[in-house]
Amino acid sequence: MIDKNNVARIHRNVTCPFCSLLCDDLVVKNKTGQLKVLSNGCSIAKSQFEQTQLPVKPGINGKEVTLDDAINHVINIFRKSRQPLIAGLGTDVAGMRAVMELADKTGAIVDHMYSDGAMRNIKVMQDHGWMMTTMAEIKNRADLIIFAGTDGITNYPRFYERVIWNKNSLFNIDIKQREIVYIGDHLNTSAGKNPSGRLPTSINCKQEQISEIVATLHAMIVGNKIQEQHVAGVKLQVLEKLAERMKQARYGVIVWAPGELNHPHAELTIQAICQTIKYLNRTTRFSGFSLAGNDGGITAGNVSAWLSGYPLRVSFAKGYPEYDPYKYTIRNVLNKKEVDTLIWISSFTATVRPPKANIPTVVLATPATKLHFRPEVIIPVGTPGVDHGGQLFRTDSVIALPLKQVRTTKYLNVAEILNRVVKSL
Amino acid sequence: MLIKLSGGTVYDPVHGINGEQRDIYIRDGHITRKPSANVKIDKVYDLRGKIVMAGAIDIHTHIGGGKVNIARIMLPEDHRDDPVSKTSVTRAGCGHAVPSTLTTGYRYAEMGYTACFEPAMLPSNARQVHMEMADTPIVDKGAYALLGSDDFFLRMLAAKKDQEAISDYVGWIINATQAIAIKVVNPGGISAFKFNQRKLNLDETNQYYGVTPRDILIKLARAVRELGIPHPLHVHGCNLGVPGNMQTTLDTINAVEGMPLP
Repeated sequence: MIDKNNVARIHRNVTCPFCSLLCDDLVVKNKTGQLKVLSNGCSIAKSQFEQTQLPVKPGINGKEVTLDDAINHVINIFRKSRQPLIAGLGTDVAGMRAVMELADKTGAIVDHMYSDGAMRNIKVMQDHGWMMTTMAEIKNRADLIIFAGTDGITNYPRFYERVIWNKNSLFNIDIKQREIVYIGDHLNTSAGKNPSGRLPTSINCKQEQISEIVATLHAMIVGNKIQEQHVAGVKLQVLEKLAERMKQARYGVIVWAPGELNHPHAELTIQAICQTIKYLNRTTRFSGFSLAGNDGGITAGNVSAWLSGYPLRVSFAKGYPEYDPYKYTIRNVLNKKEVDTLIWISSFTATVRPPKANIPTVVLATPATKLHFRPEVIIPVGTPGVDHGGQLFRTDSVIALPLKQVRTTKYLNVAEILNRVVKSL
Repeated sequence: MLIKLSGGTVYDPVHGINGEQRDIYIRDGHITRKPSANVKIDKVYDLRGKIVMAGAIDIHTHIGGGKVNIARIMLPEDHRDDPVSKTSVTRAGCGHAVPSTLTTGYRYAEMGYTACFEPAMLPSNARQVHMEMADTPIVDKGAYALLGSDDFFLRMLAAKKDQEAISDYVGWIINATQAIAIKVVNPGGISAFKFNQRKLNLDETNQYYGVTPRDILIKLARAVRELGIPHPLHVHGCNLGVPGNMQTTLDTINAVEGMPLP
């Protein structure tokens, strides 16, 4: 709901929290609580910032109640619970710190809404290791960028504008020579056209076959002879040409989006990519880059790791943190009825919906969230970077951006609510 | 608030106290002289049979930041062997090579440390370093900002900017990253790596910037001294990870022309 105390104001250098690129050059105007993105906002930023914030009251079993009554009800739910699940985790650093304290206090299991994707990366990092780069390095150094299983533009509209088709670079590399390659299917390759006119190379194969293509490239780079004439339906010469180009690259990058590699054992695809990158570094420079972590995904993993030692999928039920990336997942513990309470947190994207589980459910969500069931408690919350300040981690994890408050509302933020619950338990 | 630590056995090498039973008085967080008899003491701690020493300081301990957290993520099996259960006054966590931040603070305090310093804070990752240190309880914390392969600095060196400009930059970094000192790791070598230059000896030039690790060390050490930063330039030598780098290390120690160099 719009607070009449909103002062008409233009905010500059605003960080957009609505995808994990966290672009921090937006200009946002606040007029009586209604926001308008004046510049540097992509379609996602505009649609999210410019939503009218709806006046939603907290509710218990569908009945409107005061905020205090709702929070007290949440406290009582936790007092009765013997095995809670704290999930969704669409929040900022402060919200995640409160989540971890609450989990410690109540013996809860902690998992993020998008951890399926995140875990594909984590497993590779844990089992094999990897060599990754950052947005600034791609922008200033890359001469060859390979997109594996993602086009990077569909879910990250400003990726190319900010990091690939930049006009200037630190080391005077010739951006007109920058080459793009796509491996996968149903990818939007239009953004891969260099402003100089050079078209990208497109290698079409099913998502599940990307690992075959990558393994073949790796074998060719090593110098092994391939017996087949086609791999995953792609002519061998095409792959030979790419393998040679990869060897000649001065700073190559392979980009993937773990959330978009939605097939079983996709972590093996990512591992194949990382193994190839590792081999290429014997003679040249090549790095990986992951596009992931929307709705607080990177933040949740990082905060969970420093406070518990483990990157999500952690249970505090035994009084110490226990990690099991196969057991402590939202899907698994709900399906196997291993939890008796769910608290779902989602303060960014209104289209995110909590799972329906027939257990007492508390939802802390942005007011525009449309639920497809009636939870025991619903408390609307502010959005970090819009209704309150904070910090979020970017997709490449190294960078945490500060978030501004560009609007005043009466909604509390996730950290405030959870901290009140923690204090009372 | 006036506190008395009563009857402990004190070891204080700086003041030549070698195992004497003494009382210690603390007012508002500072150790003070014994008050006159009519002054009210708010709290007494009975330390008979206990040893009292100044808190230990760990000037180089990787307690926070992206790389430390990557280490945590990579070591679930190490954590599993060292679970730390919560108690009525402490939260759960884990050890052991890279404990969770809460366990780090508790264990340092248990060992008698009162201050810990993260020695490698990447300026662009400073926020995370401070967040993790803020979640490290009890002990005081600080961090050293990592310089020496940052492009802004190397450009200044290549353009032969004067020492004052460089010192200004170093001062700015200290303030912007809330650092307590400056660290340099593999000076110029991390930058060289990105250009596919695979080693960088003390007097070799970075192939893009044309400056040597020796140039970098001397400029940074001077900046640290001229700014009056109490902790000297904290150095991790050249050729990090390159076999046979012992000679480089020895050369590096000799390089800074007598300026202190931990």
